[in-house]
Amino acid sequence: MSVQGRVWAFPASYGQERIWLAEQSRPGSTVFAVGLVFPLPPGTDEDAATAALTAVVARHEPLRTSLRAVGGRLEQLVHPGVPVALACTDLGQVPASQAQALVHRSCQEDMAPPFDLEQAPLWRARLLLLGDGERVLTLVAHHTVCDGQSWQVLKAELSELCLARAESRPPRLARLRLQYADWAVWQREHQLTPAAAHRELDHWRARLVGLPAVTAVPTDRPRTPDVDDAGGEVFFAIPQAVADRVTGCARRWRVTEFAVLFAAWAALLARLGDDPDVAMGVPVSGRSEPDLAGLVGMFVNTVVLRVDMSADPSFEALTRQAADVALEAMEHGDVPFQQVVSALAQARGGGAEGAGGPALLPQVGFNLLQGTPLQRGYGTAREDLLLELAGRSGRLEYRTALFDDSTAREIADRFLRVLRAATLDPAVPVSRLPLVDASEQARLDVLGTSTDPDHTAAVPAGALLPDLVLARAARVPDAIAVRDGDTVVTYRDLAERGRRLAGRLTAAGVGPERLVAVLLPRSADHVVTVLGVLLAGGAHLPLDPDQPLERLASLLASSGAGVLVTRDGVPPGLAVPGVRIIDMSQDAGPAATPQAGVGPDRTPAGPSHLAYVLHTSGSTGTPKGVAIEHRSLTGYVRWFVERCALGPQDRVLAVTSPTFDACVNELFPVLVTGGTIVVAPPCHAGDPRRLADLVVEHAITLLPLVPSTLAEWVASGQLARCTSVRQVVCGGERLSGHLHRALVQQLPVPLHNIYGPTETTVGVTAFRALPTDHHAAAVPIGRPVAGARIRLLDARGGPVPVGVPGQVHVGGPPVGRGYPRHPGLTAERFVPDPFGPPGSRLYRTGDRARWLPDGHLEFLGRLDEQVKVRGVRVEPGEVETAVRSLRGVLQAAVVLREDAPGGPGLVAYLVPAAGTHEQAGWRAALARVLPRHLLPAALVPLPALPTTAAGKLDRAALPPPGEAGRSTAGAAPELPRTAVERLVAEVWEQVLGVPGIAAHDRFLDLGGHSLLAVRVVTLLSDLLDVEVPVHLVLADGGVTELAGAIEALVVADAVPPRPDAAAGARAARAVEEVGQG
Amino acid sequence: MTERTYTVVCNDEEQYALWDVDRVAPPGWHPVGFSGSRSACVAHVDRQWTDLRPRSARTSPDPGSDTGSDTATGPATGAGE
Repeated sequence: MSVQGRVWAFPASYGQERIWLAEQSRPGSTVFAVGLVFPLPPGTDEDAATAALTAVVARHEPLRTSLRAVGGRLEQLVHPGVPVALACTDLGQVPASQAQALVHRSCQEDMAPPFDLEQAPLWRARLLLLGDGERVLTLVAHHTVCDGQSWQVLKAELSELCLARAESRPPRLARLRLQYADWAVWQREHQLTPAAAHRELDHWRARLVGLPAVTAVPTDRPRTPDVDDAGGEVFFAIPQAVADRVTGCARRWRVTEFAVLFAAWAALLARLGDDPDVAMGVPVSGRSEPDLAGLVGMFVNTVVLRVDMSADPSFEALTRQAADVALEAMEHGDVPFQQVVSALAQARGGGAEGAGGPALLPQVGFNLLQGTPLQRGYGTAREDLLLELAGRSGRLEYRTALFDDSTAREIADRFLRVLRAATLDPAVPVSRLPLVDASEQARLDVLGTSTDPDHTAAVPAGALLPDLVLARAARVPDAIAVRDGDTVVTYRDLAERGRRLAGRLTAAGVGPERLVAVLLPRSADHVVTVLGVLLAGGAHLPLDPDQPLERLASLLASSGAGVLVTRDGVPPGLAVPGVRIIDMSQDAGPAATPQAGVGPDRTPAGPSHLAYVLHTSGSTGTPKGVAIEHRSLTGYVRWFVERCALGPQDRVLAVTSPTFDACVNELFPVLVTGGTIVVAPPCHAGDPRRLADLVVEHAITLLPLVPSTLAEWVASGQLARCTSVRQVVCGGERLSGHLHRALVQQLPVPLHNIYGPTETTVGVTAFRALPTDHHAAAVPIGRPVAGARIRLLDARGGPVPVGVPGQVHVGGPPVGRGYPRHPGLTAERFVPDPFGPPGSRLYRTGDRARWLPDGHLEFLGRLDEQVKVRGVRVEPGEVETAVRSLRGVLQAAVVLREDAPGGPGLVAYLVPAAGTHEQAGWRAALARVLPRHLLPAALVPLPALPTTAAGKLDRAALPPPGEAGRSTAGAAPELPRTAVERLVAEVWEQVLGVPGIAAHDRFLDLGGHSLLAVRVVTLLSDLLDVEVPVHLVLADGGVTELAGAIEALVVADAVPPRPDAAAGARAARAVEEVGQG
Repeated sequence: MTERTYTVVCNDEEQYALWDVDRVAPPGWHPVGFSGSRSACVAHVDRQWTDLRPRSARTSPDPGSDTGSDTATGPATGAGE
């Protein structure tokens, strides 16, 4: 069908522009297609329906509109006529119960082909003939030409047209005094004068300052740049009683029901994300003038409602705040959302849009529908999470790339739970609203309980560790207990020397609860001494001979230890007033004293007596002693023996300094089972080759490591030699999945990842990582062990739901006694356990973790190391994982630094493989896997990562990042080289007004945004005679990457050469003649 | 952020701890009668709690692990036995 007449060009409205721009960066996406379903009078036939459709198309210009980008602006072209094609589908045979689903599926199929926005009409219509004469007209339209309220307009008009025809009368339709395009012009020229717009944007800039770039709600999968619009939905119903209370609250407080419901949703989001600052996008109709009510067109605008709960308000107070915020937002709701976004981006210093086009921030939405029912979605989601309510029906739409359906279902359930509790007792502060119901609490209880046999339950006398070691020694006296260089200690020797030492100690006054300081390096002596101390009933206090003398003297004096065991006398300069010295070099040796039975054959200590005191420095720096009792230690060791299935054939390499509790793993488990401890001399520490030599020479079967050390072993390639090793024990730091995979490539054996602070006896959770495992981020820390009870609690001490981060609290037998010299600190950290037996305590670890759906724990880092970059909480571990997986990178650590380029931000320190200088490639590779807000501000190569004496990363020793500059760290910016690169750089310079563009500078970083990208594309396409898609310019690559992509286009001839464009349409009201047919 | 108020509680083993003043103490714990800011409570416990050994672990008077050695002292260096 052809119509003669003019095509009129008008500027597009801001709303149309926003949608069009968003689509440019998502080629092929169907997220902006809208499905409208209209019931028609029964019996309406195809002709009648077509006539009705033709009439509304003639009436409403948006149904005859296409869009076109010209010279950096978007135009809408109103055509005099468009083909009105009405497809028809006969579903008469389908039973009524399935009809709705099939209508929905039909819409979905009609939506699948993307719209070419330059081709009118931007809709597809279909008539569905259902059983019993029922008729449905579906209209799948592009969002640029219609919105939700347009549905009501069209529904009324189509009905009326069909009825009028059936009754053979003229249709009664209101006269339209204006059309959508008129409004678009008015919007730009009158509704918002520059002065008014300026004022409005000032308001929004102030209101939204500091808005986090991404929402804090935890997702099931990381937010990578390729998160798409695929969506899912869950439906739910608000119980009548709750709905009545919502109405009651609204009436009592004289606010809208919107405010009450919004407040409940905001409170839930704040709790889930552990962030009191919550902002959401809320749609407003945008039809402020009465004449607009009857128009079809895209009027909807979005406003941002932001509430702050950091004062922990009651629910009532929060609702009042929400009501005020909503009112204020409406008053300033005329300014197009896109302008607000741009203003915020500029305030942030450009580059905040990201590859997804104008950031549809915030990524959480709320919509309260009035007068329209909830509609099923079509498999897309425009936000991470959108809560829609209509009456008592609710719908939660979510991005499937980020959330599982079960998680979305849980979020919906929690919303109802919060709404129920909040409306029941509105005085409850937001922090106390219940997220967890009784059945989930029961599940958390089960998760938090160790399922290992509880070895700590009743540790009978005679079954403490020293007794167990003696019992083993009696059974295998000739087996080798310790090897230390050339020294060989059999179990008989060990028992005799241990008992002899215990005798000396007892004579010196050692007994239960008496501390014995031990100043010995890792050695056979040390093993004997520990046994002797425990056999005498005393508590072992290890001192590190490598420490400065002053510190040793201070530790010794403050501990109150009365006895010091050392070899060859006390080091000169170490003051030990009032302390008895036991010198190992004066031990007469096995042959000298023939008397059997010298020294005790059982320890006088009981299960609740002290076993050892270790000093930790923690994050504050000042060392404090941690006291651990026998029952905790025995329980842990017995668990470890069982977990590793240790036996007499096991040989463990002792590599840990005696002052760290990981040393326990290398000492007791082997001695109670009759295996051998092979001591690695302190001089070999940090030398994987020498240590590997020992592993091979002595056929070590159990290898204990800390992740930082493991990284060195992996880098050295020595692990492959260690074929005798049958399992690895790891702990003390977060273990990345990447490092684990590197390990198993050289040494494919199980790895036990053990988590636990010193205060709770070595380890309280463990995970068995198999060589076939693939962990995307970090290896989990597993499940509670050794009788430990694990609770994840929020700041108010309430349990957090599965998946939500909380602070790790430990209860049960592994909990230590406390800090002997710091009672106040002990009272602060060891708190009453509301979930355990009366009078029991929980230790607050200061670590964050969350339960994974499979019941394992994921370690997230220290609470006080939590990092916020531009208002968004980030897990440096996530970034570390990405940096470590770069090609040529051996090790990496990511920290927040105040002195990062451009202000406080993430800095990645990495250890490149020899001969690697891949810095620019690294940035591009990271940009492909990390969202913008996680990209490090600088990448600093180091020859090695600094470590502490315990083998963990030494953050304080990391160097300042220095002048990393715009492109690479340190190097002078690389200039564009190839002809295409130079051309791209020139065009960018022209459009952006920025001189001296380097090869790796990115468009968005230099102040570019989507509209400027269109200008770039126009220029490039003209110059190169190839159609350059806009999304390539907005992608995260630099000049070089864009040039490469363009060259690829030319070579592949993937895009046909540009048609001869109508160069005439430049002015605001250009006119084209459309000829026949 | 408003500072929270805590109360000092004690159990049968004569161990002290801090607890939220708004919440009922769990079974086995009773308030000792001191409440205040976190630092005030910590300071109070530092003064009151002199023996960190649980009551059931005490078989004798405090052996001096908190107050220094009470054993007969020998010479500062050299042989001890």
